[in-house]
Amino acid sequence: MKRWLAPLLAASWLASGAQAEEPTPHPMRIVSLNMCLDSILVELVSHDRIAALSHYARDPQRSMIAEAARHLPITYETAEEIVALRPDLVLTSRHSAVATRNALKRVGIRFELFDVPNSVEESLEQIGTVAHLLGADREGEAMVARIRATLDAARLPPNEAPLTAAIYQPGGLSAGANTVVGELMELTGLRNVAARYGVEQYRPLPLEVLVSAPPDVLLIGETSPGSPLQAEKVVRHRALRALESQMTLAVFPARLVFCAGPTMVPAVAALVHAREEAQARRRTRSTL
Amino acid sequence: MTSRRWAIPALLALVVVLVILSITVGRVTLTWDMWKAQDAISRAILIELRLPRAILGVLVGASLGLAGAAMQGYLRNALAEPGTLGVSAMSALGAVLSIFFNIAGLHPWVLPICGVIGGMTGMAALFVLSGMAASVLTLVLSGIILSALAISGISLALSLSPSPWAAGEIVRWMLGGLTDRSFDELTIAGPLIVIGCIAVLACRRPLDALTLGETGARSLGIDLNRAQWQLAFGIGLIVGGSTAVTGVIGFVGLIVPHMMRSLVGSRPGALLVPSAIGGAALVLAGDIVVRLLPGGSELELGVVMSLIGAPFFFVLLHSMRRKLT
Repeated sequence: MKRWLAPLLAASWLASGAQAEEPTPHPMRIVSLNMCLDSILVELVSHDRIAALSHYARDPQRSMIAEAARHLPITYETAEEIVALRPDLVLTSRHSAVATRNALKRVGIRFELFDVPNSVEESLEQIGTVAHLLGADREGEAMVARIRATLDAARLPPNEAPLTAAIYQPGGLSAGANTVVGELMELTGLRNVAARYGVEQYRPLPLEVLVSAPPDVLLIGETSPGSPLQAEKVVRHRALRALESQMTLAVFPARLVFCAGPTMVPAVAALVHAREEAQARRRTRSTL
Repeated sequence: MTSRRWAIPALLALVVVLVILSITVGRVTLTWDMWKAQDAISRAILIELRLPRAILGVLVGASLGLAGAAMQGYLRNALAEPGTLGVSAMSALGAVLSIFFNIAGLHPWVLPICGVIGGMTGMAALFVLSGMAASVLTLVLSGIILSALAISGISLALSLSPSPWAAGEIVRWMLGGLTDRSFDELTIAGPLIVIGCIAVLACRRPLDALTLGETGARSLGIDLNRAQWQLAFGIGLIVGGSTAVTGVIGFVGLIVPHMMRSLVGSRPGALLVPSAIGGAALVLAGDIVVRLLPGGSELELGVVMSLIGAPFFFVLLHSMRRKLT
């Protein structure tokens, strides 16, 4: 089965791609299978070089580039769709299915596998790697410099005391130790209590633990009012509402949590906004 | 088998102890000082988190135990139970469809009512598929059909929905739990479950009469048709109300009546109330175990119930096979 499939596909390839005999220095038909790589890709290259993004990119709840992705083709991460697009570079992450990657290998499509970055530095390094593969080193450096500048500007002023905070997304999911969001929180002056409670990566934070020592700022995910999903109900739990006088509830949409890369810019903006709001509330409370 | 007089008071005492444990035990250890302080935090933990959970545990456990005992009595089959026969899954499907068609947001009552409709549909389908006093095979096959249909429907609806949490939500529906439920949910499930329990308890006489067989029951003046629909209504309310709030908690209705039979005898009508009390004790105990298990996130209660229930089901089927051959 495999043995006859590969030459067949290769033949269809050569027949239709006759003009692409001279290898171009830069990939011109790029496919990305990961939403986070999508968000880097759309900012680094002109959109006519993008053969397809991942379907998650169009989901406004998860993706920061939903608007741009609506005008670009997408795939649902099946080898069939990818092969039909005849890409010269496929960007994929560890989240993608092993079977799909194996299929690409069999057909001989070049793909690059990326890990999920666990820190800001790793993410910035990844932007550099992606930019180099795309032949967009200059754009990549500019993006890294822009993100670094934003992060530096968002740092907690030395004369201000940090506040405690926790992320609380639908399903009780929080960001703990070894996460980019956790690092961004510490950087902007929000001490991440979830990490201290032993939450690692993106895991649920037990509501009872959260309520037992309410943080100054609770960064809750977006919920649609009246939503019947159990995952969203926990974010609006009465126990949290009962403690509203003790903590500032700030909205921190899930799409800011899913990816690092350029998403770090709006993420720190939201974190700084939440911190400032909580500090303002504290000041008014102490003057009262 | 004789009825033991101490059985019911002992079970009631057990439920009381478990309710108290359920309020005192949790992820956070509340010291006596914190109890006495009665500040906003300890009040939020005790009243908003643990109390609704304990009450819901009692209600859901009791009603599921009752539903199991009634189904076993009516179908005269020791394997009958809302969870194993797919009635719970059907009611989860009803609830999930109300989410899928975006009508659940209209009013908090829409979702549980759709769950109840699903549960009643499941009961009706079960009666149609297997009829009264069906063979074990027909009954179990009907259950497999209903479960398969319901689970595929739930997976389909949630995968098509735009929520990024679809996978987690499917797990939450199929493996029920009491974690982090609040009084808001209790006030919705409570009335449905209570009405359902009353409807099922009123069927005690037909259930007892059915031990004489269908003709025997008819000759005693029992309207079996009415009893059948009353049971479908009551169990539909119970399963729909509890599933809408907790998801599918299986095996309670299977295990408890069997345990109670050795305590209070096997007369179906007399088995109902002890099964309810035993069900409450089992669900509360399971929910306490879930909280005490080490690990990052809490295990779903449905997992624990299946871990206890599936081997129990195995042993039961094994002993039945020996009896049949």
